Amino acid sequence: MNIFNSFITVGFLSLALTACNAGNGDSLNDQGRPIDEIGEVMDLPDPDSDSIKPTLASIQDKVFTPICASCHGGANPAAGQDLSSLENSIINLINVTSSNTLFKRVLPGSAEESYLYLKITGDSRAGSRMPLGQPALNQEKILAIKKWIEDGAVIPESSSNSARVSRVNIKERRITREINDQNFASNVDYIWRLNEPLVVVFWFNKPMSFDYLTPEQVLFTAYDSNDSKENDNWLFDSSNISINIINDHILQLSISEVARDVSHINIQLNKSSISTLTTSLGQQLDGDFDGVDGGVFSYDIHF
Amino acid sequence: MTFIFNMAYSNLIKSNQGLRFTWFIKFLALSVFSILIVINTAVAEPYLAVKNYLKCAACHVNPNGGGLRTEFGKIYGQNLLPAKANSYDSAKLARLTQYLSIGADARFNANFQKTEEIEDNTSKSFEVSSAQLYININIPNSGLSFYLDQQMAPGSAINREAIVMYEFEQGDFIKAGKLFLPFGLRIEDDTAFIRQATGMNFDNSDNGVEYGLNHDNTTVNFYVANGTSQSSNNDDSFLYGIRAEHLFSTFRVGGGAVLNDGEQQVKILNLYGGTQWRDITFLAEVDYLILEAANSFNQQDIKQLAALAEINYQWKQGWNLKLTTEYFDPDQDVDEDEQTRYSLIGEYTPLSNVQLRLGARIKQDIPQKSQNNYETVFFQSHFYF
Repeated sequence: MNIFNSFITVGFLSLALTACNAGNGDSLNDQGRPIDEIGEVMDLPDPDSDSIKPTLASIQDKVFTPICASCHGGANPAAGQDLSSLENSIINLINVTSSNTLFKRVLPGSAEESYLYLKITGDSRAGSRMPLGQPALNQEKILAIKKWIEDGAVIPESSSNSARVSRVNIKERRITREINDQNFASNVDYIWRLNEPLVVVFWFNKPMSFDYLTPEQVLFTAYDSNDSKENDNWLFDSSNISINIINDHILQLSISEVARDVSHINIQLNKSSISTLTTSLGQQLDGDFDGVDGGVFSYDIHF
Repeated sequence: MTFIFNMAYSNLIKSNQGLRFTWFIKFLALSVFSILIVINTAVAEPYLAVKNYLKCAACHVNPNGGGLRTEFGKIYGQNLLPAKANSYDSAKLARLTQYLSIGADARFNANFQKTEEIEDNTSKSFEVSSAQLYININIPNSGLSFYLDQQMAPGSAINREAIVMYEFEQGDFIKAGKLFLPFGLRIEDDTAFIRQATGMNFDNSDNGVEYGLNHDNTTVNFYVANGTSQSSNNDDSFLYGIRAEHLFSTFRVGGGAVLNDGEQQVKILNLYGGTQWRDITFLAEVDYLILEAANSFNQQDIKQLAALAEINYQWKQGWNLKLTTEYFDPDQDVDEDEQTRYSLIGEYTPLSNVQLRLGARIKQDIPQKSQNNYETVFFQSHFYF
């Protein structure tokens, strides 16, 4: 075939193929939706602000919806991870095990242990950098996501999702266990020394009202080494328990005088007969993770 | 097929390598054997399939294309694709035993990207785009095989496909496991609109079962998979799909339908085709998607349209010029929200098993989405085996 004719043919076909143009964006918001549509009614970011904030609503608006949802949304979301709406992002990110089972997609409080953060920073442990085939997120967006995770991956207060404990970790011993809906047990390898306080930190997914919480309303039950006998357990004296409110979604409990013969401790929050924990808007904590507000949150620490 | 034989033979003459009569007889026998497979089964760089009037299964162990190459695929990649062929027998090298064969793909990229953002709008990077290792265990005379497609890099190993396949005598097959669902043109670029919007790409395999029906030049695939919750089906709903493709004398036409059931039901209709004229190969695909009640404002369905057209111009052995144009309308009820994407890529395969690609890509979205308006220039070295 004559090469000149081929180029003419290819050129002609090329012109025909490139006839389409992208939309001019008239009457659309920065997510490509008509400006008279108000899709999310919860904690809308300031429409006049171009800068991203370290909140899920802002990250949804500036990153997840306009960038990620082109693959993680629509007909068959990549990796089953739908980020097309704020509700979907909550369900699909926070405390969900990633394709690398060593990591959660988002582990509240720790960006370096969150697959989402590793993915957007191009960490070698997380495979292809996201967004796939697109320019990397700019530093402002990456830092906003990092801060949102490290602040506890708090979700909008007005969202319909349950208020839950999103993470528990034990200070001093540097032992951390993520929340698992089936099992809240944590294993500690060695015996606590007498007089050294056991410090447990609870992270909540929504801003909570801790103002009226007293040590008497938190049940610390100790079991001795033979915990099969029902009688071998006792409640800690509330005078040994102290409460430290770090902020509106992080609560720190300390307990002193843990004896050597204690084999494990059970901590209970939100027991309705004693007290209930609520968000600042009055939504009760879903302690038992059944999707219904209310229920006891129970956490075991084994020594 | 005559074309392939002529090319293979002339290449061998030209390169003056492997001209021993016995080798050529082996090659001929293997080619005939491959053709017999082709007749009864399905291709991966789709333009090569269209150009050579072949189904995907001619060159790939997976009848739907992509991944480990068949012996014919290895010979094609060694002798017919590159400007200069190596003399070794890649098919023999890849076949560790009569039961076990291996393959690999590795892509290393150098990228430069510029967005329309006001600040921080350029990025330059080197990256291992992907490194795949393929293993196929074939039990002789049983029709049974086990196929594994493992992504080794970047990052930790990720399984892309793990399939047990049984091939019936008449060429039909049944597959079960983690698989790429048969849908449309299986182009390599996962970021294409037709692959992103539908979720049918190499980054998104699913767990399920597939039955492939082969009759002369027609292939029909039926499949059921987990759907939107691929790793575990926690919603008791599945994805159901069908794809049909027919090869005519000078062109092919295919179509498919997918119902991704679940809390939010998704329907996809797909039409694709390809034809070849002299050194030019033309591919096209259109996908129509209906996302049930996806509009969170008024609970209406969202209807989307994604399209791709591609021209490949192979004017000389080892060289290919690829022009791709894409269109995506994320909501047909909303005006002026359309997106376009244009790519111009030069592909040079200097030697067997190595392809170099230099490309430029322009993505256009609405002005409000500054990050989604960008230009990319990339250079890629692709090792294939």
